[in-house]
Amino acid sequence: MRSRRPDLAPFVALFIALAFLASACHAPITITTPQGKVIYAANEVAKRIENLQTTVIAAEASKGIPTDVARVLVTFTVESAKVLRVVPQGWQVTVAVAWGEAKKQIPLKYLNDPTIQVAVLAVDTVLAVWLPVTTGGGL
Amino acid sequence: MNPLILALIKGILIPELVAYIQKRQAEGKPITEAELAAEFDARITRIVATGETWLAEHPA
Repeated sequence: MRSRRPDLAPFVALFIALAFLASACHAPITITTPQGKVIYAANEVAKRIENLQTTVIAAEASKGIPTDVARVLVTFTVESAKVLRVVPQGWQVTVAVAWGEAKKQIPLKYLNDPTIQVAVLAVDTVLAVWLPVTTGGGL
Repeated sequence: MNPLILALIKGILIPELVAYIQKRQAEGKPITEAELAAEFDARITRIVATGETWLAEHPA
């Protein structure tokens, strides 16, 4: 007889993913100055944004998602990168709000599309990790 | 296995695990702050250039 225990696999996978992403919170021991730690954090976010951009462009090219949806996400990646460059020490709220606004414009079925879902989740997670607690972490 | 779990494993866990291992291995060859800043600048330039090119080719 099959157990009626709830399927915990999704939560375990999410916990492990968060644990690995959280490890990105700690800069390498060679990065010691406050400015170096700021750049390290911004670079970790930029990695996920670049991955999102690459994934979205590929998904649009293979007709996995509509061009209008891809345009919203690619615009977000470009604008966020510009914010990261200009204010690497204070990008958090601006980028998180922009991400929330971008996601509002996209039907849930596309955000959950397997072709981009993981890249979307990675941005969600890295922003949640780096967003200051004082903002409430609201995405 | 649930497709979402598979996607998480392939898309996040494996790349993060590889990055973590590489980071640990690199402890003998530490990245300097100057190298990190250069990597960051190059990545941002790449994101902006790629994105703006794509947007120009896919106007609203």
